[in-house]
Amino acid sequence: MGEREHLLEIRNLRTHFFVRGHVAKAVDDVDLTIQSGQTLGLVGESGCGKSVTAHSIIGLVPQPPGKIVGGRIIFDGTDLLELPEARMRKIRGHWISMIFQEPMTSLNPVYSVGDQVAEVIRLHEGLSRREAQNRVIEMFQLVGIPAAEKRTNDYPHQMSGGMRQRVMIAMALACHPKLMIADEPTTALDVTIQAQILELMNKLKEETRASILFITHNLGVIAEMAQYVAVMYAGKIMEYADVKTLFGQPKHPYTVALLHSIPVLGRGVRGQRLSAISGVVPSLLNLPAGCLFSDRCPDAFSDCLRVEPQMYELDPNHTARCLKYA
Amino acid sequence: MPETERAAIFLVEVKDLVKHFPIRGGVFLKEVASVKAVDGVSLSIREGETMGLVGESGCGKTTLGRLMLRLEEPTAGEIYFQGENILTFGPSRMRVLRREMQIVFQDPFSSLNPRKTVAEIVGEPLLVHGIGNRREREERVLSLLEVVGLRREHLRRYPHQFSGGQRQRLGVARALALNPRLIVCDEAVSALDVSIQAQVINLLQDLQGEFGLTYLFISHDLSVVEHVSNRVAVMYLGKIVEIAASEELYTTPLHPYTQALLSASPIPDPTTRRQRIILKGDVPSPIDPPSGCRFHTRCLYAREICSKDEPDLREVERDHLASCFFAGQVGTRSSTAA
Repeated sequence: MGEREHLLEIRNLRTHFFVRGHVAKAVDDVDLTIQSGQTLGLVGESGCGKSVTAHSIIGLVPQPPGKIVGGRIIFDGTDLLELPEARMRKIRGHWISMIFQEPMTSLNPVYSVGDQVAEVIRLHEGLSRREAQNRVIEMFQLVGIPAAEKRTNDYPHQMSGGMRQRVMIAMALACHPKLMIADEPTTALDVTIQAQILELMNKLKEETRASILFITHNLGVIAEMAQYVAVMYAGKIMEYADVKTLFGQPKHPYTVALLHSIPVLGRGVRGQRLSAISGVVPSLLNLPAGCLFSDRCPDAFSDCLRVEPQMYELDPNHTARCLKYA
Repeated sequence: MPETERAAIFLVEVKDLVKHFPIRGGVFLKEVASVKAVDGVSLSIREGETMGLVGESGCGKTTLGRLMLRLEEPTAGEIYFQGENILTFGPSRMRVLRREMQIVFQDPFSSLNPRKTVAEIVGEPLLVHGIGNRREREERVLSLLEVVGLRREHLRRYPHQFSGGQRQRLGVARALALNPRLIVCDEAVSALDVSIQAQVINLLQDLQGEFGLTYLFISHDLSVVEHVSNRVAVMYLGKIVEIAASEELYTTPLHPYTQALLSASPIPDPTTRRQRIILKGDVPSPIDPPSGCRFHTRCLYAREICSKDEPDLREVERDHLASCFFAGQVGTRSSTAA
């Protein structure tokens, strides 16, 4: 596979879930582009469809009840949605790997961590047991696990949360992937450990030139990790921009409201109220007509309740799904 | 300061509080070790203030909150509420006192009984304490729902019919039912999405103004704690390492652990680039904490004395306490500067 500018292009992706006669549009008409060697941050509140987007890319949407009903996911020139499962299996874990939120539940408790990382390498690269073992030790050293050779014999329960997440990263990087999908990789960790893992991921990205799709609800983490950011709400991308623009000149009312609703370290003024977003995230089974954010939006006008907004280009590389910019 | 005067200023005071949880093993279930969850903590909370309590998981902050309400019996130490040592109280006096102190839990899904209606959940404290008749209780529940921003028609619904933010409002309404003076908020907004978190934080602040509540606000989220607290205490491995007024603590942290904690918190502003202190290793086990200063195994500035002697929590600057031999001499004076 050759080098392309766009490593991953998602066009009009629609992943729906069919539950008891209802349709939940978990991902609806999502476009995303990830360039080689860059980190795209995908940010949004729980249930907005960010994890389903990731699972769609890597082919892990449970079918049924889920179904990818439309769109294309072009990875390095190939549409992943047209690949048979056998070929997808060769890509998953090899060229595209994934780091999950909870390292305790995503590692198998009855195999040693070394064996679990070795399995990936042997499966995808056909190395011998010994060669794979050596690569595992190399990977453990790379991700900063002390006494790497000895720790390969540990079982997951013998490691701390931070160490387990390092094992997950070692596993994800073991076959030199082109794209690493990190789904809330530091959410379960304490801040000092989170800082270690984020620093490690940035260092490894520089060394391996892998692209990262970084999924989180934490705007602070996004600001430190991503070059480009997509804000997701109720299954749709609401705004897309480079990280400085998104945090500096956010245009979509949802992005603006989200940024205003969090207290910022070192700028807290006690007694000052946070500008909370009124109401709640709409149910995917009962989405509002027109703009999905219209019922909570401070800037909504009458058209917002009827007309479904498109992604409007504000600048090259800056788009927002809001009728204000139509 | 005379005792009566202290009692007027401080609503709650704990002194040298210790809580060790035994670990039993062997055939006769002998105590083989203990988890030193809280290991000598002294802390005072003024009437009407919000005391923030931050620290990483397992540092003992939740246990300290529970001890303060006597939901756990301490291994040693004293707890004063309005000047009285509540550890000397018998069950009946304690029961009366419980009206004054309430708690809001982290997880709004597991802290509400799924088989009870809102009327029963929010009204239960009134029922337990024998306050009012059925109709009066219902009136009170209705007014509480209004206070926390829920509606009259919610009265007959069950917890699963509410969103996370609404459930946390129910938890707050239940805590308010008996007109308490102290509320321990144990990670009360941590499980909520950011847009909903802001709603609940605003609600807690409004209620404080309206009813003159005193909060112990426990959280691992430093920016939320900074936003709500008058003073902040930082905990590490069962001990308080630093206490100061919120603004003071966040601009001039004196303890190396506080400095590291602050520098590790991500800031939602890509133009801010800070010198980040990355701590090595993990938090040691509270079963067998390090000798001397408990932070010395991860501290960038640790010297020989740190592994031998234990530093006291001392007043380094006016009203700014830190337990470090070199407090004020080491580290960043202002870790949040760009």
